[in-house]
Amino acid sequence: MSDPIERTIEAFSRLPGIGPKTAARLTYFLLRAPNDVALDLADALKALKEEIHYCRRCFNVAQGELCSICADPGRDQHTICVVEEPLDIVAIERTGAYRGLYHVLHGAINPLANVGPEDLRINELVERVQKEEVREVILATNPNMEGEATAMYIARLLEPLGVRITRLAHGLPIGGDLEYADQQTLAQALEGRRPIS
Amino acid sequence: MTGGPERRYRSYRLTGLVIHHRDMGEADRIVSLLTPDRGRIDLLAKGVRKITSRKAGHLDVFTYVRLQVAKGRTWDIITQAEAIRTFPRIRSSLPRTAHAYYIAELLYALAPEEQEDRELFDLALEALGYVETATNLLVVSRWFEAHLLRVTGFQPQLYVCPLCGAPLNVEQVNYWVPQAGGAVCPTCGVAQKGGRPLPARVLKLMRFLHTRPYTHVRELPLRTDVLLELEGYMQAYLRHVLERDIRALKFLHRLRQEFRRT
Ligand SMILES: [Zn+2]
Ligand SMILES: [Zn+2]
Repeated sequence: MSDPIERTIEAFSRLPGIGPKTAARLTYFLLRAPNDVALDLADALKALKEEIHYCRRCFNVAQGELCSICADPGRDQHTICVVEEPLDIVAIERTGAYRGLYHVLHGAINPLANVGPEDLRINELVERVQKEEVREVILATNPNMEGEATAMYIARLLEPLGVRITRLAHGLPIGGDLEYADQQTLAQALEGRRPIS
Repeated sequence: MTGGPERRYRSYRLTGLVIHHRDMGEADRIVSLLTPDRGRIDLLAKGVRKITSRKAGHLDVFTYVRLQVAKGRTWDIITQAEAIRTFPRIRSSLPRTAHAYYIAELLYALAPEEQEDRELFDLALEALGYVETATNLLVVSRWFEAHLLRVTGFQPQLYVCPLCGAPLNVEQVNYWVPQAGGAVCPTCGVAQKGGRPLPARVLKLMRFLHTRPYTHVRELPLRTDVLLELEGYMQAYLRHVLERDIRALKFLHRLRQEFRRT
């Protein structure tokens, strides 16, 4: 494929929520717009893929080896909050109610979608709890069936390690995704977290 | 907007059991329900992944719901949802969750689409009720799969050899050949590729489970090792029917390996 216009349209069409019509509109917009609009976008996309990867400790998005949270010595090093996606960290950070570390699973157990524990960063979490001086693990997976199953599974794995295991309080409405929770509800859910048995 | 005879069909009510869902776009979800009137149907739930959505909690898997649905072009859209029955003990127990997923996966794979099946729906709701309360979940899953296969027309042959027509002698070792339709006689069985010996204790248990209500089955002191043995035979048969592995079973095996009892 050599025609730059067709190539750009085709590239846009691969994005979620963008059909061929929108892809064409965006392409022709960029063609007409001042040079820096298109070039800034190209640079940003290139940097996104080349400079951002996952933190080797917690699997949050990171620019260096460690994400900005793991690299911050001011964070409480004894508490790990376990979330499904990096976006959940953004939601929790917005509340300002949490000062510990995170661990991103990159999904939740869902047998119907063929996602098992082995597809998530669960072994890495167990290793962290064994190696680091962790006192509490907060399970902040989504309040739906998959999130509950994931939390119960992890709790069972961590139980023998003698660490305090808590789950977000039930103030969160059942069924939704954490990333969409409002700040106050999320802060309350963190505040009211309870030991899981 | 024109009136017309189709106007009163723009919205309808529906009850069903949520057996599957998958995310779509930013915050939407396709929800699959097993209904008494229309078998399995897929509906669009808009914005349910937003935690503020009041519908979300009622549309989680293993919920028996009453819905208001609006007709749409590609998907019919859920406009209201209200839980009729939830299963809190399934939700708070990992083994129960895993067995409920097993039941949901088989229902999703075998339920007819857009076709009335009241018996299947009743079986599904009954089985989830037992997963909620039973002490031996293996019995529930073995009982459920037997009756599911009967209701959906995939009942394995347990009485007459499908290859030669001879009645099967339950006191001897027969063979299990899924691609032949179930149990076959020893003479035919040895000649079949992919067949495996079927001990008398397993065939007897199969016949019992396939013909009895759960209330009879649960009275029996069934041995765990025989139930697990039976699971292996049923897994081979279901794999043949579904033409793929059962994902929830992989998860159940994983739990068993990791935590012993499940
Ligand atoms: Zn990190
Ligand atoms: Zn025969």
